[in-house]
Amino acid sequence: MTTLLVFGALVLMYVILVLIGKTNELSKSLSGNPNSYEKESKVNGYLMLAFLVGLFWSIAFQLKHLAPLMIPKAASYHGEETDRLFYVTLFFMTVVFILTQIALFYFAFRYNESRNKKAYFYSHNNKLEVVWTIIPSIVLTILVVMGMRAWFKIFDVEARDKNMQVVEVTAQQFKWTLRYPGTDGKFGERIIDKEHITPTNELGINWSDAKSHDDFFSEQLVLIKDKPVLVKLGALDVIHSFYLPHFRVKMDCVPGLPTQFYFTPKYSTKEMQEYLSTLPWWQEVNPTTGLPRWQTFKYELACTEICGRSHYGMQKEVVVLANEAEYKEWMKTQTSYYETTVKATLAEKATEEVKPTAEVSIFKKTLASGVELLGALSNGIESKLISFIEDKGKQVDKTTWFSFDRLLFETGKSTLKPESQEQVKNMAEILKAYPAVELKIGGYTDNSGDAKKNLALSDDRAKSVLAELVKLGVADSRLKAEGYGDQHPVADNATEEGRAKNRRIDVRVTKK
Amino acid sequence: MHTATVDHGAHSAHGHDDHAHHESSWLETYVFCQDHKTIAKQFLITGMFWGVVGGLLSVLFRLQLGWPNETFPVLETFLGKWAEGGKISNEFYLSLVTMHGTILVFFVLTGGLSGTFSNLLIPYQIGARDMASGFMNMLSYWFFFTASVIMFASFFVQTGAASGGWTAYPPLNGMRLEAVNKGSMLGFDLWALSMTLFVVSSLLGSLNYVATIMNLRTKGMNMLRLPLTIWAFLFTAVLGILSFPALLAGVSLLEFDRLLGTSFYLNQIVINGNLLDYKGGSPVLFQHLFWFLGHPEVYIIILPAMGIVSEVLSTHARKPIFGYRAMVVSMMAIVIISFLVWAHHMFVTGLNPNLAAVFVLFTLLIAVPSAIKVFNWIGTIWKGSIRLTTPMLFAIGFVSMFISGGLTGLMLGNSSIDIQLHDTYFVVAHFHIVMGVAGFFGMFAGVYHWFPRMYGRYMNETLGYIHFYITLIGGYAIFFPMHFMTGLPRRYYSFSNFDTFSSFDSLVVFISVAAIIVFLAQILFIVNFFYSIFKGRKLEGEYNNPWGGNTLEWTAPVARLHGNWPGDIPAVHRWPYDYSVNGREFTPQTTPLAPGEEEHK
Repeated sequence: MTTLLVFGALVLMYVILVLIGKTNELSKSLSGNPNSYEKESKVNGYLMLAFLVGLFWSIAFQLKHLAPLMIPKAASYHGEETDRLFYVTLFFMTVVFILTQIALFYFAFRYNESRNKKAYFYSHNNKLEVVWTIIPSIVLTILVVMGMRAWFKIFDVEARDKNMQVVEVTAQQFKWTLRYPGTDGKFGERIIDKEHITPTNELGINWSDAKSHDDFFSEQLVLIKDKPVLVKLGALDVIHSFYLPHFRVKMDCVPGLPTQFYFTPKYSTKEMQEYLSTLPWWQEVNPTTGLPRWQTFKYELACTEICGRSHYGMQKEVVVLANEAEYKEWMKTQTSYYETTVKATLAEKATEEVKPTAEVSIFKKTLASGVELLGALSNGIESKLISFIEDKGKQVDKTTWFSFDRLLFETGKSTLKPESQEQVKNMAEILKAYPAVELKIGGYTDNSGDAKKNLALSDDRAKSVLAELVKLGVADSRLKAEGYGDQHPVADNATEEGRAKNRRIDVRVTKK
Repeated sequence: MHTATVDHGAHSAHGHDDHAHHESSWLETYVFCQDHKTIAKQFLITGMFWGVVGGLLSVLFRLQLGWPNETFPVLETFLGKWAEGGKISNEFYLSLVTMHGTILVFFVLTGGLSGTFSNLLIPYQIGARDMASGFMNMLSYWFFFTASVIMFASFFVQTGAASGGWTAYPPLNGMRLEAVNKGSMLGFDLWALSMTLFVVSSLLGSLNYVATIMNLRTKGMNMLRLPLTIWAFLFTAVLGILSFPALLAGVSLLEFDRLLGTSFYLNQIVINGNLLDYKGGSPVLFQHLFWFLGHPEVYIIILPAMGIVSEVLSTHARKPIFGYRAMVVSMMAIVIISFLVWAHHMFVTGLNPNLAAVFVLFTLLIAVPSAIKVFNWIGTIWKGSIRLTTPMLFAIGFVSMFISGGLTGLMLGNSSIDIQLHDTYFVVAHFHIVMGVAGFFGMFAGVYHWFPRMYGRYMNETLGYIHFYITLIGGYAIFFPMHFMTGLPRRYYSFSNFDTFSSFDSLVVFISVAAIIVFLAQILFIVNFFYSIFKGRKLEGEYNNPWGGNTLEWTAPVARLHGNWPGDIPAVHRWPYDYSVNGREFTPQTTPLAPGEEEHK
């Protein structure tokens, strides 16, 4: 209905405008020479002048209000240089922009036919042409030379520090895998063939190469202040682009074609926060976190080459530590993937011992993001949800729901008990590991008590789970919550056991 | 066909008389027509259809970008599964941006702009009865039409329209795997087929334009008496002939990879932990082939607009174009250099850094002829007696946009600055202003200026002014603030996953509102166009030169006439820019030199 109204209003608007146009045309025809544009030129001349003023005013306005929102100063050494080049170019551009726009609109005003009845025949001036060929040429030569000096410095392989940090970054739909060489400083070899590349070893790491045994995967890109780093880039499926906006770093990750980028971070995360705390916009409180913006500032890694439906979700945090000592501390918290995951599997395979699966066991899972799920059970929501997401054969539908199994609320309230945190966290991690997934959260109660109150309670509970997930960093655009009260029981409401089962929170995958 | 240039007038007048006896059927007059004037209108109206579609797509994705948390139930009504719950899906979003780019670059600003005005003006302004081959010209339109139908049909296939970007990079567009990208299924095959037909259309048209301009000029029309429009169309056609085949080759090889399992662009692809069989190809090869067309393509868009604007500025300022020869030479320089800059789209693809240096040099070099043109345009209106009619306003708007968008090219063209700017909103701002908005302004200037030539009526001036001011202000409102969004990646469905990119929440709403208003103003243009065809103010009697122009098209009668001129084709005696000289406001090219008068050199 509103759509129809809007549509009707638009049609009406066009009709009115056409009528106005027609009336003006008729009155002009009646009032004299319809082929004279002198009046129009006069009015438009003033409007050209007004536009010129408005244009410059709006640019000033934007400088005042938009410039503070921009990505802050460069956090790397080469970035400072390219930023400087940006501003040098901006200077020349601004001069040309101001002069030419003023000339254009001012001439349109000054020499419109109501002010200048007779045009001045002036068809060329070769000296002038030479002047305005040579001046831009000189400026452009300066810019090319400056640009090339910066460029070759960035890509100077000879000048690289032998002691640099090396990180291997592999992109795929829709995640980043960050591999660190471990304590030996050397990466285990990767072999690109069908034997080595498997669903559990997508990089094709050769586990019999001892150098691979201390390699670890990190959830964050961790760098060190003032320590040069070489990022070795690759991609598995399609082209992605490794982009560190704060560091002015960007390089495509191309399947089958290794690329790299060498740079040196200049400010640690803490230093950048301190710097930002001096800027007015960053001191304002961010309504979603309730904290001043600078406090939650973090460096981020993004993808800048269109790579498919969840291109916009390929986020990772980047941390710059203050010094090598901090880095060593951090290294200690990382565990070798070989030791924690691969070794056991290999051993299992070697002994060929197939144990009968117990009815309920611990569901051990390390997500692609490197996060390990805590306390999940083999028949729990985590395992069911992951297998549903990963199974390409299973379609998203409106009937497949999974129940939380370790979620507890305070009686009659929508407040989660602390022991629920573990599972909520697991869910948040799963959602982060599968950025395409979107969920619907349903709340349910048993049939005892007031149905209306039950409905409200179930709705509140579903929403509080949603809020909890959002707090843990899941975008709320991916979640929906709704309460269903005592509808859709999964067990008999006649027994206490059944009622307990019916008081629950379910999730349904709405997109994967 | 007609041969000699000099005695051409009398010769083809005869041919025309023969032709007039032939009764054309309705089908031959309006559908399979070989008359350049009708073909021009066909291109224009198809282009306008695509303009509305392309604009509507941008309105849709601006809804998502401006209000990522809102739902619009009406969208589900029309788009079904692509907007479940009234929210555009992330897959459909990518289809929208991909098709928006493809449609506007190729179908509106190439087919619609160059197709319309090359066809309309080349025979008229050089004094020819029609194109060298009317049949090829007709084929050119019908290939374009078929390409359009196929491209439009691709919206309706189950897996959706192409969604891997208008640049069609493999491997995203190189494999028919639904798990990788839905739009790379049938939608992309149709895209590739449509583009292939489009290239054929463009080649048929371009060869015809070159042949016509070189061979069918009327008596006295030597090259330096050509209006700048014709120079622009000639250079555009040459660019198209030399560059479109590279795209055809690139897309064909891409289809081989997709359908026949070859590995031109694919190597070591791992999907869900399975190594696929592709071996030895390079995704970067496609980028070279694509941009070998892709960069000249932006000049294919902008050169005709430049030609139109030069003509309109001079005519409405009642003053000769400033530096005619410099204008021709700078266009020629642009044509040559435009073939040496393509890899500036690829600075961060792992290109050899030494190679990048060459492309930086030529990219910044191409700014010199562009700057010369801008200075000459400003020189043209200086001390003119400017009639600020709608076409003139759009021509001035074009120059303003071309300056604003062109300048940021100096940053993007410099590889070390481009590291940060590549594939961000800064690029979006740059190319939309310099070839999107500017291209449209050139096209509008042309439509308003030559509408009386096409339909014997004027377009409504009041509606034209409203259209102009909304588009000028709106164009700046949409794209200028995007310069501040430097560093925000383009083609993002939402910025909510990143702290770094979420500081512009209120700005994106503003941009979306501006985009919708500008779109509505374009509908006003279309209303004005069709209304004026039937109800516009008529050209009065013999007054068939509404703007007091010097060029030949205004010497032809208002009535639509196959062969353009009754009797002989007029001969040409002077250059086309004798405005405000020798006491006359304008002196048509057909006016012989007065005794003692020297031709302008």
